Amino acid sequence: MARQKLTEFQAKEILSSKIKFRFNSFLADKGTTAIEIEKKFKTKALVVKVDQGVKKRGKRGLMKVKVTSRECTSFIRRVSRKGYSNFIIEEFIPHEQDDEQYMSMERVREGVKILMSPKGGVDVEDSMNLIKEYVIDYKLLASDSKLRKKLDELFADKVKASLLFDLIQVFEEYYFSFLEINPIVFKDAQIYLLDLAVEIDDAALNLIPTPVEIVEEANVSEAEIEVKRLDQNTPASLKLKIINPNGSLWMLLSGGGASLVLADEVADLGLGKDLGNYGEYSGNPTREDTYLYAKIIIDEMLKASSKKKVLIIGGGVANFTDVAKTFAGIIDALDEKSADLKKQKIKVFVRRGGPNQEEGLSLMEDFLKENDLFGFVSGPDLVLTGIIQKAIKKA
Amino acid sequence: MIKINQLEKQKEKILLVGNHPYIIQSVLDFDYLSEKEAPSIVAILGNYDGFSKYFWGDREILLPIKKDLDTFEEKEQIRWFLSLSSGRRVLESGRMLADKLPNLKGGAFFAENVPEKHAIELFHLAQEKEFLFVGPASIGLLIPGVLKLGPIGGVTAEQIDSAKIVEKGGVALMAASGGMTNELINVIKQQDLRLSFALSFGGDRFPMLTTKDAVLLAQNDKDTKVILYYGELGGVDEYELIELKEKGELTKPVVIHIGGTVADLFPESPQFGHAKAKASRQDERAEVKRKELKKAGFFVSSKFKEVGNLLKKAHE
Repeated sequence: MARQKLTEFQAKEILSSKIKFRFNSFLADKGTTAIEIEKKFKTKALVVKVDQGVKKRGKRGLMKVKVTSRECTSFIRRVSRKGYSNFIIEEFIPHEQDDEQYMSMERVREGVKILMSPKGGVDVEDSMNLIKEYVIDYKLLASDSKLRKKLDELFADKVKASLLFDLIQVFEEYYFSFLEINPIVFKDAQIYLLDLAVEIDDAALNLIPTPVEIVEEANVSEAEIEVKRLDQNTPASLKLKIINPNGSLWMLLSGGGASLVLADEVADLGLGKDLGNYGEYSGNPTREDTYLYAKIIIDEMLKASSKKKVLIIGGGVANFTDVAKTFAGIIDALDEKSADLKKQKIKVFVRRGGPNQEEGLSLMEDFLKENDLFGFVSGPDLVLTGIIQKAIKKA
Repeated sequence: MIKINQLEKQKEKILLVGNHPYIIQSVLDFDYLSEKEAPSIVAILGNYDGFSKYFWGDREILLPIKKDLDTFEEKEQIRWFLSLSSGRRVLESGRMLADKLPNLKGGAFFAENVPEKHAIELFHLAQEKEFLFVGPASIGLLIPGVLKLGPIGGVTAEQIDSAKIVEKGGVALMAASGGMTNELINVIKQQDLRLSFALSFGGDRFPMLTTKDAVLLAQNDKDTKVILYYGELGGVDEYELIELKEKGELTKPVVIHIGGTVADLFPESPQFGHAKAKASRQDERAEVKRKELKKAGFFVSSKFKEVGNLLKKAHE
């Protein structure tokens, strides 16, 4: 499906099985005590960071450098209130800014693209001219001897050539898509990965040697978690992102592409702030799955404080998602909440096509009219985004 | 590279890999409505030797199921495959098909969840052997009257009939999204135009068919007068179009819609429905792609409802 982030702790754990670097990290959460931290690190100076795949932690106040165990726990308590739950604690490595280097790898069509810069750290992009790019051809990835030879040709520095060789081995074995070490410090014959970010290809999760867990995003709502859970248990695709919990425009969209085009229309009209959610169902979900998905969105819509609300059931002309079946599921969910929907004077606007569209559209139209929820119902004769225009007139 | 207009209506035979009755039936319905002499599907590759019941018009027919291609004598006729295998098996099955089908021209991979690394391997295999592979996560390839390789254009006979996808025209359609492919077939029909061919790249990060190769397929196709392209935020494939145009290799008019401006409502671009649909860099944003493509002289819609008119204009 997509590239997913690993926690820094887990990424380091995986790398440590193959690569010799100083791995001395501690996984912490809200409940971690100063005593536990001291047990591992004694009285060393420490670094504490949010470990949830967040970028630019330094600039966003999500890490603290050169702190004591007690400062770690108070930092964790404070940042937890912003919705973060996973932290990583490491010993502070004294070093000069000049020691900070940059290294990254990304899977590209041609193989693996490596970027290196002798000047790493937060402002790596300020010295663009120092960043060197190398592409390791995909054919070399499968052969240890050819890969080693190539890396030895490219890098005079034996430590780097050998580190890159090992990194590529792990990169391949674990189906990584992206790996970035910034900064990496080479000091006293030791390698320190001061900050590591890894993305893994989640389509390969059952092909890798040891199981991994995908990072839990911070500040995810209950509704989003529920949809994620549903999505994991069906061959179809179900997605939800809450944009404004008190928005007035709520959407039950179908199709990865059509849902984007429909949401774009709202944003392009300058109504982004009114948009309650983005999401999509596709891949011919069952009636039951569609019911459960629709129910979550309808519940969120009912909770929203906006006075005038509309529900947009929008989608393109499906290739193989059965319109009658999925609409039956949506109607099940609407039916369950019809009294509340009526009370809030919510109207429903529909535009959809695909297999069994006549049956699905007329089922929907009849239901909406009987329950006083009818805004508009159309098949593919109406331009896809036309339904947004109709709905916002009522919102 | 294959020339779309040189493909032969009666001779483009297909091997089905895996079983999806309604998709298989839709290929047969398409063949029947295209007035072919016989079904394009020669056999279904399955777990046993046997037969499966389908309809050819109103008449019941039996399609052979074969478990082993080595002993299948009619495999020489096969020019295409439609792979409905699961994501994990795509690499293995793609390699096997490339190896065992002597007259193969190409194929479509329907499965989602194909590891990036596997898709890249098959991309290189296709480049080397000059196969036209589409996918993964693709609803397929459609050439009106000639070839339907996947659920593209619909799975019921009514859809195929009303979408007018058996009649050949001059619009080549290519889209990252399967649903939008079909939606745009609808837009084309509403402008009273017809397709020269249509394909869905699939929404993954590394489609086996590159944007460049797809556009050249249209450029080199005698029937194609105009290209309709749908892309999304994420990736930088669209910049290949600009490069081709600047080099003079792309001279036919291209109408383009890029989805994903909604991403700008979020502090950090979220992952949308398709695996590729996430902008990590500035040039991957929908807004930036639209602007650059417009600057390069393409017909770029700023709203989806403009697509129909732009298409009409470009076609004239």
